Amino acid sequence: MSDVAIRYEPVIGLEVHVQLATRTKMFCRCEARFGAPPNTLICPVCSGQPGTLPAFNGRALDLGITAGLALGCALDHEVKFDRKNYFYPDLPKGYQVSQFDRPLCHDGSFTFDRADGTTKTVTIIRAHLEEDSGKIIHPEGMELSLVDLNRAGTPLLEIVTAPDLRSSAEARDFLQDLRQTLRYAGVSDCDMEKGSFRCDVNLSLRPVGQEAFGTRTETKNLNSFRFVEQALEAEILRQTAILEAGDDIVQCTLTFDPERQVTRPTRVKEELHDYRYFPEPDLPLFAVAPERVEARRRKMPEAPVARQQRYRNALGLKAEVAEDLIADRDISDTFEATLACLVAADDTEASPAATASWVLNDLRRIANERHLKLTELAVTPQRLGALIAFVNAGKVSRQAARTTILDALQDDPEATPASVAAEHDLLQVSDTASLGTIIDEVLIAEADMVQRYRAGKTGLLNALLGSVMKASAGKANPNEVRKLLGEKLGPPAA
Amino acid sequence: MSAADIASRVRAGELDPIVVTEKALARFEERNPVVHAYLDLDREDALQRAAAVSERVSRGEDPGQLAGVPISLKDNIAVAGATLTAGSRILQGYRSPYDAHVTERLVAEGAVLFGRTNLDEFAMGASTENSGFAPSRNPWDRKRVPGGSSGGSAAAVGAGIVPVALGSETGGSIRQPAALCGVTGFKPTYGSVSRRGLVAFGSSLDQIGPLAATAEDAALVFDVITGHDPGDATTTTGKRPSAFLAPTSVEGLRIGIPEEFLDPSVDPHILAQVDQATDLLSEAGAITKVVPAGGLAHANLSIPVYYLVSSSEACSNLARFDGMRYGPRHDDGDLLDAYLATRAGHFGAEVQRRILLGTFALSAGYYDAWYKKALQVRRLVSDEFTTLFKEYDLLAGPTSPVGAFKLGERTDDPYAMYLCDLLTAPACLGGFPSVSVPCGLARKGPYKGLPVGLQLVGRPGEDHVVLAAARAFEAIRGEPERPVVYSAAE
Ligand SMILES: [Zn+2]
Repeated sequence: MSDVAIRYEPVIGLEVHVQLATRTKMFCRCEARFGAPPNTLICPVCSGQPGTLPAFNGRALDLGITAGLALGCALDHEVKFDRKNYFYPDLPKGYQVSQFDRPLCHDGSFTFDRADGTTKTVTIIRAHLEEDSGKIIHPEGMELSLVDLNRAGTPLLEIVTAPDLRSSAEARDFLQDLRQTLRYAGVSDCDMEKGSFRCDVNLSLRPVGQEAFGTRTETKNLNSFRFVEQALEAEILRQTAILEAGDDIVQCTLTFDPERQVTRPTRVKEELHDYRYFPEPDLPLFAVAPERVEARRRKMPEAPVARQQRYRNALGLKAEVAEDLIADRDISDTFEATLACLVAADDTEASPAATASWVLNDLRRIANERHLKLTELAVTPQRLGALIAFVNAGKVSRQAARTTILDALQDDPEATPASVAAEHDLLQVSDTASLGTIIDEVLIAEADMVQRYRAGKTGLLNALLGSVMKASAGKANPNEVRKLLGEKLGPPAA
Repeated sequence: MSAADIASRVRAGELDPIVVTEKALARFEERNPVVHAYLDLDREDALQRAAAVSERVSRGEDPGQLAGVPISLKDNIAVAGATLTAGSRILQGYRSPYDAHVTERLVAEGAVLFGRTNLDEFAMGASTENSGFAPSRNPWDRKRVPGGSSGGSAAAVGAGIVPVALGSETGGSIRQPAALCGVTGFKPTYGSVSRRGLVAFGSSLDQIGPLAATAEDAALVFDVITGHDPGDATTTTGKRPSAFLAPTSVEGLRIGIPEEFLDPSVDPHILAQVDQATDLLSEAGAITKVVPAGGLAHANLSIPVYYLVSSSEACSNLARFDGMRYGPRHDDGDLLDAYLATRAGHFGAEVQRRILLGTFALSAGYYDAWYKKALQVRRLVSDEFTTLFKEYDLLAGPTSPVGAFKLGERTDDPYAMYLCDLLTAPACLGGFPSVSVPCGLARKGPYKGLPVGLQLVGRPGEDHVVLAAARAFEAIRGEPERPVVYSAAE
């Protein structure tokens, strides 16, 4: 099998279903939320009661526009909905409101980073709005199926790429970058575990060097990057075996079995599917005003790739740090807001690297310990900024700040760095007179060391510094102490 | 007593809504066995609603424009807690969890909801003989149909049980039964009344409207139910002139009578009555003129176009009746068996015929030839009307080519039944407002002694003009003839 990759080239296209981050559903005002008890987020509209009509959620349109802009798409000047008709118990109306001949977004492109450091651009054929179906649950050991309609009517954006990808690894890299971009743009939380980012993959093989595409198959409903990669690998093997046996690939829909690492045709007969699309008569054409698109464009957040470059070039952060920061938009946003607070306060000591460390290490530690999102912490960027400034001003040690004070700030939203430092007696001694007294006492007590220092053992400075810190019970400002010690000891003998 | 009289006397504190409702209940007991207009009537509920209005009066509040008026709703218009069968066995036992927009409006204005009226299953039919339960009867002759699909509403009003009822129309289902029962029926401009809470048949055609003993009452109810509803994206925004603001004189009104409305298939004695009616309008100062043939050259395609469009939309609208969430269900066998048994077992023959027609017309490979082509012709028909409306304020003609026919007379020939919509379907295709007002009884022929309806069609959004003309005609015409069962009333 080692020559397989040489003889056949995989041709891969993707269809990605992204759940739009609206508060309510697409055509009713039920909450669009994951994890509620079954059938608690439903109403006459989304449960398909007779006589109900859809009322379009403008927020879904706004997010669709933002996604279109992020994917470099052209936008239709009107939203046109169509009905896709089919029967299934999780489809309450017997049709899905979708977009057929006029997708909201079309003809875009998306550039992503490949693992080898190069980039590749994929054509986005279309991205259209549609409503999600409910969910069917098969309770174990029972001869029945149950339907949960909480998800029914949740807004989705279906993104369809051209067959531009050539390996399973490429597909994975593309999806990772796509997911990050959509999350940054606020289009979706793209939480794969909650099903808000689902993927179908189309695959065909062709002999290397041949231009015409082979017959393709579609593997549906892959909900992790790993499964996408594995399913593609499995399907490449399956198709290769068929082609090598001299047989033809049959166009079909498949499911992936992660336990056995194989793809299998579904039992549904494809030829039975005629969706009888026709324009949704309950939803007249809805204008997409140019001003609306411009407003969305103005609100577009910086793309993650651009942000990463800015961190490296303008802020001078190391590549790994920049990558760590942008991996999660919450982290990156918190970092930016904190840095902005420090800059606004004219903190000349503020450094992007130190701020990044505060966010990546200290703030994230607290969030993990408390099982909270970064954005849910009582320690807001403003309060973190104040704490960093407090440290930079020499009021407390960094050690005291990152442990005692940070935790105290999280516990008490009213607390300030100063109030916590006072309460826990953490304020550093920085005034020359008090420090001078302590240092003088230490120099007398350690006369022996002083003598050896002056004789040229300059390494003893740190030991003396340690003694002073100890004598001050850790409250002396080490920078001040170092300065004063230097003055009092005078230059060592050459 | 008319709805207008009841409301003004209740508002003045001269009439107790409970007494009004009790009288209506008495008429129901007496006459419903004759006309079978109702599928359900909750007497306690009606009395409680009347008591609520009565309390509003005693608290010194204004009980509203329809204070104490008993109004019956076609059983495809949702009322929370009430039946909503749409005339189908597939919704037997179902109760609506919510109120239709029109229901909310009526209740807010003090109307007393009074029973659920019969209809052809899912409003598909012209006689109520397609009702999944039993046909209603014409108040003029029990052996004859009341028309349809809003035949129950027309029979209830025609028999004098209630002064007003709501119906719904897709191709003629308000105006045709109104004509056959001798009452006024008004189909508003598409988009002027919210469809939220109306069991959908042909969504791009469906519209709710009143059937009333007088044109004035139809106007009164229309004023209450019209208006923009954010819950129905097809309702129009903007001001709606009151149906009472337009002048009720026909002086100077330009009324065209298209040759195509005087089709040879229309019963000549019906044409004679309509001719007499247009003469009355001329005498009163209207400028009436026959529009030469060709003005509505494509109107003859209205029937096939109407059936293609409405059936296509219906096959999709009726997909939700699958027994999964409500209604009866057969669940032996696999999923496909359950769907087939439930739908084949509970939809009537006519509904199944239209689902098949619509499914065919929307199928891949046929869409362009049928559904898309039908939409193009629909546009043509609509454009022809629009052209005529540059010259005429209203178009007039008979409402129905036939009078009240005998039960069973057309049931074996679906196409003969479809032809009942010949003169009403065009206004639905174009979304135009149109009224049918009684204009006497046929003097001879198969419909001798049975009511005839005069149809007036107006420009979109000019519902008030159409209703004002109907009220003007009513004034010229005088009290219409009423059937025996009606006069037994007061
Ligand atoms: Zn809902």
